[in-house]
Amino acid sequence: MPDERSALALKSALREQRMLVLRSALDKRMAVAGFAIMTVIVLLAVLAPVLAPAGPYEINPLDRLLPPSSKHWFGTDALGRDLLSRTLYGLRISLAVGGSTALASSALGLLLGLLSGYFSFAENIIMRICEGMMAIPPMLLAIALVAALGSTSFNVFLSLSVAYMPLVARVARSSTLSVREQTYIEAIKSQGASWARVLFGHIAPNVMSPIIVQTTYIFASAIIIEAALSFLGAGVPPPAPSLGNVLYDAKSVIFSAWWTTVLPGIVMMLTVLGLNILGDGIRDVMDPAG
Amino acid sequence: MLNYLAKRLIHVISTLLILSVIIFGVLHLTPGDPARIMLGPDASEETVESLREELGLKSSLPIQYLRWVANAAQGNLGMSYFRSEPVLSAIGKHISPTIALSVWSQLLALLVAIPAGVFAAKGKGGKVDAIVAAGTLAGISLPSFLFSLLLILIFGVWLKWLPVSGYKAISGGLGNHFRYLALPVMSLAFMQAAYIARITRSTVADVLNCEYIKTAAAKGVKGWEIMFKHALRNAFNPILTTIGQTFGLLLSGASVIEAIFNIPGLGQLMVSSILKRDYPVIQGVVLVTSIIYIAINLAVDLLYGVVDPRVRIAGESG
Repeated sequence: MPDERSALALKSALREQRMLVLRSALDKRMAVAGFAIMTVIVLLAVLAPVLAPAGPYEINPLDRLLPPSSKHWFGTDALGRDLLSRTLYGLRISLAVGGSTALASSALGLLLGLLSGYFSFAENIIMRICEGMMAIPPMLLAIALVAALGSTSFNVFLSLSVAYMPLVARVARSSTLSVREQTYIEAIKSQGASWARVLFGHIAPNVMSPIIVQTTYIFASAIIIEAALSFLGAGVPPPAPSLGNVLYDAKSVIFSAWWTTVLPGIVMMLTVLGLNILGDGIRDVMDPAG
Repeated sequence: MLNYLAKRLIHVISTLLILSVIIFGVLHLTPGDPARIMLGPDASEETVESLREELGLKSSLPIQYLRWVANAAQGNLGMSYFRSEPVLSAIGKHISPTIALSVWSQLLALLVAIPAGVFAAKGKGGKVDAIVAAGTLAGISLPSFLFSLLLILIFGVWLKWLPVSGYKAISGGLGNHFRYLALPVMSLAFMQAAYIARITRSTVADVLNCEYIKTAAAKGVKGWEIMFKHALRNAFNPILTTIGQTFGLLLSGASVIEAIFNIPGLGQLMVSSILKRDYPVIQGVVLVTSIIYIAINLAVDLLYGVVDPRVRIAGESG
């Protein structure tokens, strides 16, 4: 019985804390604005098949390089493809690559960071490897990996995930180092909890907040790098309409068709801006002092 | 100080070792046989076999790794598969535009960002602060390659003020050098400036809140003297750290900007090597860029010690 009561008390305390976080999130206009922008962007991407007026690969040689009109809101590109459609589908690919990169690198980085923060023998090996990897700028490491593995969407995702993983591992490790010294961890250990339970059940939830912030930044950065890779011939292979490929195609007609650069560019910038604002907002909410 | 120096150097050497394993490992992930790639699909099996022998591809991986490291330490990064020259000489031919681009971008970023950060911190919560905050958010959210496309549209296509393609070495006259580099440098500097302005603003604002600044002000030290003698000096280390950390972004961002503006730098070398799968060159460019990045960060670490006596002492006792 007493157990049940304390569990209930804990639950209501947790709920209260959650309400507090939620309320302060609403107070923070940044977080809300970022969340709103990202909701719209994700909806546009998810609904691309419904919203897009044409297929992203549909070529119409007669409609080459038409400026924006009521028929083609974003105009058409050098092959007469509807640019709005390509941008919407591009958003899908970019969000998919960026989002899965952010999730994969965070999950892996969190695991390695937890292990190296908890076990000093693991720390030396894992952190030395991470330092070596971080000596290579993420984009260059991704380029080298994509060049080695071949440029497919999956390899771009894989390479970016590997490239960002050490960043997360470092953040997770330093948080783990401070959390593991807390009294409640001591208490759980003295009750005879296994290391896995201590590490994954009790330390992991307490190092999550800096990781979540990091994840949104990686999301934004991965979208940028994925697009930049297209300019180096190491991105999502064309003619797939990733935002990078759409902008790369635009570069060759920049002198005659401004809209091919500006309009998809604005969409890309709003996406990255939304993620950055969301990240800043989450950081402020989770760490009011910082 | 010596102790601190030794510690940094040992750290750099261990980083370099791991880096070499990673770069070597990546090359050996590549599917396909280097000898086959070099000779093309039409070469006979015997020719491929003898080239394999010549390149030392028949030894075990650890032996190959040791040989590669020994060569790399002597500045021999192997032969390019497709250019009939050593990797290092190909890199040597392409490195100066990349360095010019990165250095000018870094300088422009500092020139804009530090005053912006200082003014924002001084008028915290005011108009200037809001403008700087909006500017930094824009800089962080506008990828350099996208910004460069917009700059090409504005200054190259509409105003026709500046060239949008090519590179003129500094030896051919400063005027032309800067005319050709103006747009690429602006593209790269924006994001860099955004990061530096952010950190300058927050650290200077923190320092300005400290008791000793209030004491100085109470003693009648003038506002700008406080800013230069106390606030900026104390904010120096975080700013330096940011410069070191973001220099990697600058270097790798430079390769994309080079591809866009058709500048014959490391980025262009990289693009042509990716297209032809010239792995030794890709490996070499990644290695050289990473070493520059490590060297910059080592210099930053050492500068801390010079500027801030606390770091020296901590390095000795710790």
